Amino acid sequence: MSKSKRVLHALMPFLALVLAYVIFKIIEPARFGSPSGLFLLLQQAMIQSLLACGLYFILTMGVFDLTVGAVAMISAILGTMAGNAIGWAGMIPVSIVTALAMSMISSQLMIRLKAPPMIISVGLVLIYEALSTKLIQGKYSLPIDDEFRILGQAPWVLIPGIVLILVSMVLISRSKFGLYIHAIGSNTEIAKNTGINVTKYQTLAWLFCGLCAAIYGIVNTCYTSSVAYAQNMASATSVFKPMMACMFATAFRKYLNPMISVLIGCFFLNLVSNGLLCMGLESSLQNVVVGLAMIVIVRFSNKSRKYDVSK
Amino acid sequence: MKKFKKLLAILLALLMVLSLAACSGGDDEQTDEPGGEQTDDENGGDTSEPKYKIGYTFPDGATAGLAGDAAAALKLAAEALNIEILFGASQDLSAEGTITTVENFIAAGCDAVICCNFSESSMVQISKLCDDAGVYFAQFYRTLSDEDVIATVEASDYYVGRVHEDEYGTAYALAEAMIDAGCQNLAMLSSVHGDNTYETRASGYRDACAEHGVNIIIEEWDQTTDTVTNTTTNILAAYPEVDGFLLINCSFAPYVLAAMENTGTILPMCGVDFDTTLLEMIENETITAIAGGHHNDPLFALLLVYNALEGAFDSSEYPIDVLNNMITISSVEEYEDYATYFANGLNDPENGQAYNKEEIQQMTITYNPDFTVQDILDAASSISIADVMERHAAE
Repeated sequence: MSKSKRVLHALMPFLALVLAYVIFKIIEPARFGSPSGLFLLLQQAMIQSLLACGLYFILTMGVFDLTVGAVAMISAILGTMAGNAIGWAGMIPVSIVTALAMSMISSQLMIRLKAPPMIISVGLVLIYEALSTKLIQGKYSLPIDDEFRILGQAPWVLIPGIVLILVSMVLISRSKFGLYIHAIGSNTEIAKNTGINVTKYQTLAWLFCGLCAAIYGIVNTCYTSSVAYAQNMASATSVFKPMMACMFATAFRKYLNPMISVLIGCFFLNLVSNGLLCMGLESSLQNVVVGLAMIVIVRFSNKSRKYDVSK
Repeated sequence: MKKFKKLLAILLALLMVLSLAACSGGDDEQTDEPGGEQTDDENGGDTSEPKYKIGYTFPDGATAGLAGDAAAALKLAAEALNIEILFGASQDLSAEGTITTVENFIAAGCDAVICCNFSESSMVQISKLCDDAGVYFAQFYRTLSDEDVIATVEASDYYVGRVHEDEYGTAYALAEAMIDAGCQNLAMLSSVHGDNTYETRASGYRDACAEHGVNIIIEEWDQTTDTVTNTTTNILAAYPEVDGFLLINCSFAPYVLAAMENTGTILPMCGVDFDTTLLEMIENETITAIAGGHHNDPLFALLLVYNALEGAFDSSEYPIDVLNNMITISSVEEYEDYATYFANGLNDPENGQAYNKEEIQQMTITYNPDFTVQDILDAASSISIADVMERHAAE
């Protein structure tokens, strides 16, 4: 592929963003796309990117893990309880340890049990959600103390996202870990035969995802001021937008660091939702458009992967 | 490796069992029943067999606020009337989930069922199931509006009636409170479309605004606690003229408030259903108007089917339409009275609820030969914090 074509491909995520912006700006010039509005969308995208960064490693291995939302929720609930009791020193370690422990359980069950990971993740989501209901029993949601709200507000809300995206960029494209994750995702058996300790790297990917889920849980709770329990697989829905962003990133991973694409993907989805809201469309109709966008992205992703070569 | 796999399988099974046990409410008195439901076998020391087994489609206080308070009221009624309550296994909001729960109750030998149908269409199937099994049924928190559903359900000999609130009037009054507070351009936020209660509240908001010449700039439905903060943020950015929020369900209030705080724009809001952060909202004056506290709907529905089983009613009286009063709270003092005398059933079952054992018994033909259906209608329509305090505060 010529250099100019590669550059064009690398610019495509940005062009998609610009195109969406221009379309909505023409349709709703007064309501859509003010600098302050875009900054709010960036904050939302940055929070979702926290989850998407971790999820990318799991999805790259070819696993659809629906437990990530529940891991974020439970770690946020326990972190909020600890935080409200003893401050930041309680909130952050409790959230992270909880998420890592849950991710460890999820990973070992999905790696070692010879059952489809999707089915195991559905079972685990039901268990985790039942646990969340029990933990918040007596309340609709668990409010966080005011002192923590600062992390949910600009500019602080952007910091964890920036740091995690930079770390993930290095991990995915400049480390042995990232290389092995791609190899495992391309073909687990071949990866095993080339001497990669597949179980070890799969477990590490889940633990990294758990860490991301914990940070997402903390920041999102600070942003929304409360954390709620979930029932009937509701926690899985929080994963959908980050998952779509990951697919967006997968489609362009040959040309652009996936973590940049993850952020652009999250921003793109929020931009489209916001544009539709400015047009007065209800959420259900917004979901139709977002769903169509997802299908197009997946289609594009498949087309791109057809020419991938694993080395 | 094989041993490890076996160990993992056992661990997974153990986790599932423990989580189910954890969700059962944890009361020692509860035992498993056929049909996957849970039972409350407390009979206040009465060792005789429960007279009736009655199914209740919500879980046993596994969820917060309204459901927890309602479960406490039903447990007290079970003791007072020597009946057994079977609680739903989970709060499944789907039509299929409610129907499955009712099927399980019937399979478990329930004499009557009280149900909250989030989807009106499910009442047709529930009606058929109860007709076939000869099981009395009543609705709580919901009424019927679709003419075809009304025709089918009300034709049933076993449909005793429904207990609901004046959702329209309540929403109308809340919207008027917002208008009185100076709001002219409102945004409305709601959860799912298609729920009769939410749609009725929305109609109340819309009509009040239309009649007072106030605009509802945007309505956003299908919101969840996950999405509503972002949606509110986006509304505040895209619709700067919005000067207040109408919430169909007040459990969104903390999330809407968070969005307002994040953007530095604090606006009035109102809503139905008491959230568990109600005290903070009243203390901080972040809520302009709120109505709720209608957790006695299931108790009244239980009394309807219990009295039907006892032969208290002439079937020509069916369906009995019970309109329960919404409670309004506007000060910290009122909240404290509410929390002490009205919604304190989990801590003080006998004196912390709207009705004590004796009062519950007096609303049945078994203990009160002079009982008529009017007693339940009067009790529901006159319930208030002051009414409860008058009856219980001196005790």
